[in-house]
Parts: sequence; C-alpha cells; structure tokens
Amino acid sequence: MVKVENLSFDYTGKGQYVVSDISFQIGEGEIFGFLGPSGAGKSTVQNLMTGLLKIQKGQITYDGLSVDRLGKSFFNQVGVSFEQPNIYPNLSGEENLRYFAGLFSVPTIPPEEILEKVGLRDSVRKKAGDYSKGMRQRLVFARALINKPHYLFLDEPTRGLDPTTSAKICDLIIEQKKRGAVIFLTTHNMELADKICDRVAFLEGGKIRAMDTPYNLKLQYGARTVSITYRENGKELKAILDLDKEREQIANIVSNCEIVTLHSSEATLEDIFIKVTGRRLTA
Amino acid sequence: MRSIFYLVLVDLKLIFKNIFFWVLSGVLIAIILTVNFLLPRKITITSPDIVTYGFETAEYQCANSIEQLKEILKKDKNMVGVIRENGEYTILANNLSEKQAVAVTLPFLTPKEKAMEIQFSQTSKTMTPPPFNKRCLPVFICFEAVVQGFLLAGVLMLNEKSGKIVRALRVSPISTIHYWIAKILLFSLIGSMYALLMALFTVGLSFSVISFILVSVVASALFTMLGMITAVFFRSINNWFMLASLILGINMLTMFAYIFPTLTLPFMKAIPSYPFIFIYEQILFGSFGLTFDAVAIAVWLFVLCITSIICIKNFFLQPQKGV
Repeated sequence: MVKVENLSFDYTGKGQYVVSDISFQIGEGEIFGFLGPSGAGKSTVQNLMTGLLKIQKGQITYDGLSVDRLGKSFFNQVGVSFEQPNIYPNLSGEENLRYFAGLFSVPTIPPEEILEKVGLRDSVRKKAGDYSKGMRQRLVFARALINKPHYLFLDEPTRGLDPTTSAKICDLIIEQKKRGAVIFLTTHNMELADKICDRVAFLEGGKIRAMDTPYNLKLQYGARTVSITYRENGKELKAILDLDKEREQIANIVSNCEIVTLHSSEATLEDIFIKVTGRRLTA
Repeated sequence: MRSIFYLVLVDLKLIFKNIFFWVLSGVLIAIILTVNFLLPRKITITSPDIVTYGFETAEYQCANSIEQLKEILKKDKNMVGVIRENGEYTILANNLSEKQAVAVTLPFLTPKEKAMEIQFSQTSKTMTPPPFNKRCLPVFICFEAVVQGFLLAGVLMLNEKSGKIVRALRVSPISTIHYWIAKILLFSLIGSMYALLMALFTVGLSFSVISFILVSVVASALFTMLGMITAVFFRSINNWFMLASLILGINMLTMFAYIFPTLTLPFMKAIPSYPFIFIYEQILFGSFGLTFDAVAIAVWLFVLCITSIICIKNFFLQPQKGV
C-alpha cells in the first residue's frame, strides 16, 4: 500500500506551493486516477512519489516505509511511464527495452513480448528516434512494465494515441491491476479515468478538491437526465429533464406526445470536475 | 554486475553511434600518420646546459668532483658533462648522441685538442634519445587518447540529461557506484586501446606494454572522472564544451614543460597530465622509475574518485530538491 500524507511542495522556496496538503492512499490491485488540468501539480506528486523530487513537507510511505529511506533495490518493484518520452533515440525500441531490462535484478519480460503487446512489433528494429510521438509514448509505457512492477506510475499513458491503441493500453493497465499492482495514473483524459480507475481525485490549484470512486462522484455531484425528442401540435421539440426531479413532466410527455427519441444520460467526470472546481480539465 | 554490464554495453553502442567518437578516431589516425611521416626526426631548439670538471669556463657550471658532476647529470637529464683529466676529454650525456655531444664540446677545445680522441659515454644506458617525431608521442597520448574518457563520458552524460533519460535512470535500481564503475571501465578500456594503438603504430613494441597499459588505464580513468564531474553541472553539451575546452587547454600546458623543460612553471606540476606525460616518456623511451609521479597520480585519483562519486550521486542520479 502507498500512503501519501499532508504532502506539500514548493519549487520556488518562497511559499508558492504547487502541491498543498495532499493526502490519499492506494491499495494493492487498485487504479488511482489523479485528474487535473495542466499545471495542477499532478506530475509533481508523481515525481515526489517516485523519489525524483525530495519531499519538503509531508510523508510518503510504501508498506509503512518512508520513500526517503527506500534503497535503490526498491526500484526493482517500480515502473514509471513518463509524460515526455525519455528514450535513447539512437537505439532501436528493442535495444531500449533490453538495456533497461538489464538494469533490474528481478525477472523481466522479454522485450519482443511487451513490444508486441503495445503494438510495436513491426518497429522493434527501428531507431526509437524515428518513432512517432505515439510510438515513443508506447515504448515508454512498455519500459514501465518490463520488470512486472508492483508499483506502477503512469503519467498520461494514452496521450496522442488513436482509440484502438488507447484501448490496448487500457487493457494492459487493467492486466496489471489484476495481478495486484498498485497503480497511480495521472491524466486529464476523463474517459480513460472513468473506464479504468477504481478511485479518482480531482486536483486543482495544488489541492485535492474531491476524491471517490467515479460512480460515487457521479451520484454525489451529477444529475441523471433524460433527453427526449417529441412531436406536439405538429412541431418537433427537444427536452432534457432531470430523471429524479422532473418525473411528472417526463411522464406527461411520454403519455401525451409522440416520442421521436428518448435517451437517458448521466454526468461525465468532466461535468463533475467543472462543477467541483469551476474549471475545465482541458483548455 | 549484470547492471554494470548493461550500462557498459549501452554506452558502447551509443558512442559507436556518436559522431564525436569517429572524429576522435580520425584524429588518432591523423596523429599516427603525422608522427610517422610529417614530423621531422631531428630538431634542434636550444643547446643543452653543460657542467664541467677539470677546467673552468665563464659560461658553465663547474663541478668539484666527478661524483658531483654525475650527481648533477642524474638530476637533470638534459645536461651534458665534460671532464678533462690528464689532458683527455670525456663527455657524459643522457639524451644526446655521441656526435651531438662532441659538437657541444668542440668550442672548449684548442685546435690540437680537437685532433685528439674524445671518449664518450652515456650516464643512463637505458635512456636513448628518441627522434623528435617520436618524442612527441607522450604529448599526443596525453592529449588525445587518454582524454577520450573526459570528452565522451561528458557527452554521454549530457545526452542522458538533455533527453531526460537520467530521470528513467533515477527510478531504476542502478546505484551511483554501478553507474560510476560502468563509465570508468568503458572509457579506461577505450582510452588505453587508443593509447596503445598510437604507441604500437609509431614506436613498435620496444617498450613495456604492461606498464603502458596500466598507466593508460589510470590516466583514462582519471580524465573520465574529471569529465563526469564537470558534466553533472551542465544541461547542454554546448555550455559544457566551453568549460571542457578550458580544462583541456590548461591540461595541455604541460606540453611546454615536456618539450621545453626550462619553461616549466611550478603550477604545471599540479596539472593532472604532468606526471603522465613524463611517465609515458620513461616507458616508451627509457627506464620506468616511480617516485614523485606516483604520489601526484595517487593524490589526483583519490580526490577525483571521491569528488566524482559525490557529484554523480548528488547532482545526477539523486532526487532533486526543487529549489
């Protein structure tokens, strides 16, 4: 289990906290989504959790052991997929993975196998510098999985990917969850978060504004609505009505008018994010 | 050990794909060709200093005994000793051929004496004066072959930094020591190989190859550490290269101490290349005696080992403070 307590971080040293008093925990086999717009502090939290940044205030523990006290061997259990692909551009995709696999003292997945899973089988020998942005993203994601990590940190893993490849990546993330990995996912892709996260936290202005399962957040903040297109006195009309508060009006339309289409809909995580923070996730 | 092997392997692959490595390899070939075909075999720049016994001149130092004269020659290998006993002349020299030594002595002699046979002996049998072109070899080894580690380690580290690959290394299980050993191993090997190639293709096999390799490994390791120490403080190769050029420039000052011993300034002895340039000379052209040089090298090694490990740990592979 990973436990983050009262975490704050200031890049300037002048009390301008990018991350302020953040607390949460992630259990085994859980995907925890960290949602927020660019500059909200998502990557800073990931960097603090992976030890890339030194903790200034607060505490991060892995199974009770502080991140400051973890030895280098701890990173045999860690996989990190960075937002900005950081690979050796002069080496092939396969060489990149083979090299990083060699740094671990635990069993690793053969590079060809993991490259096939992320859809890079045809480009194993190609120089990583000649990969497209999406291919590089997948290579970094593959690298994060090569040591079968127990703690997996994913920073925007589906950014720039087409829907089919994105779905492949989602399946791989769920596969990691099924084998018991602790997964920290930072993204501003609400669809991805809604689809695969067990819990999500909304980060805005360096603070967590809301944190729960996507379902509970929708229940708490979202309204279930019905969208009806109907004909009345020869005119085609459309109405979006609250399923809980406007039941009588819905019943009235259904019994007295000719229904053209009728759809139920629920709030998206983006709708809830806007409601909670007053900001959109994407610009 | 496995991670060190992979670190060495990837660095090796990366340097083979780096244009800088091939430029340095081209320079190696150019140096071999220059030493063999372009530099003159003989060059006279200044007359050697002379110490006499048995007669006095206004210009040169006069020893009180033959033993004192020999002691002076032992200390300064560039001096020539001229002894006159019972009307006969004996010349003692380290670095001059018999012809050169006699030519130096001729101004002292009267026409009658010039017709006499002059005895010549070399005080150090093993120190035969090398031709000028080959005498430059220690300079080239010190300033091309063994500084490869300085340049290539710096370039690789800065590439890892600018491509943010260092972030992936920071969240991997490799330790500072593993990273450090891998770089030292690789560039000691490459530096020594280059130095050996340079020596083999210019002077052949007339020297102690084992001593030569040992010194080259130490020299390459030392310069690799220096390169790593400087690289951790920069973000791009362009900025680092200015400092690297300055350091290499200072390092090359010892060349003057080697070619023109009278130009040796006290601070030059503190430059890392100073002891190596003379050790290479001794290995390639004369006896191999380790005295002061070994101490200087040991001090440099100790300081650079500690400093490079601290620098890599705190400024390259460790978490950043953020402020």
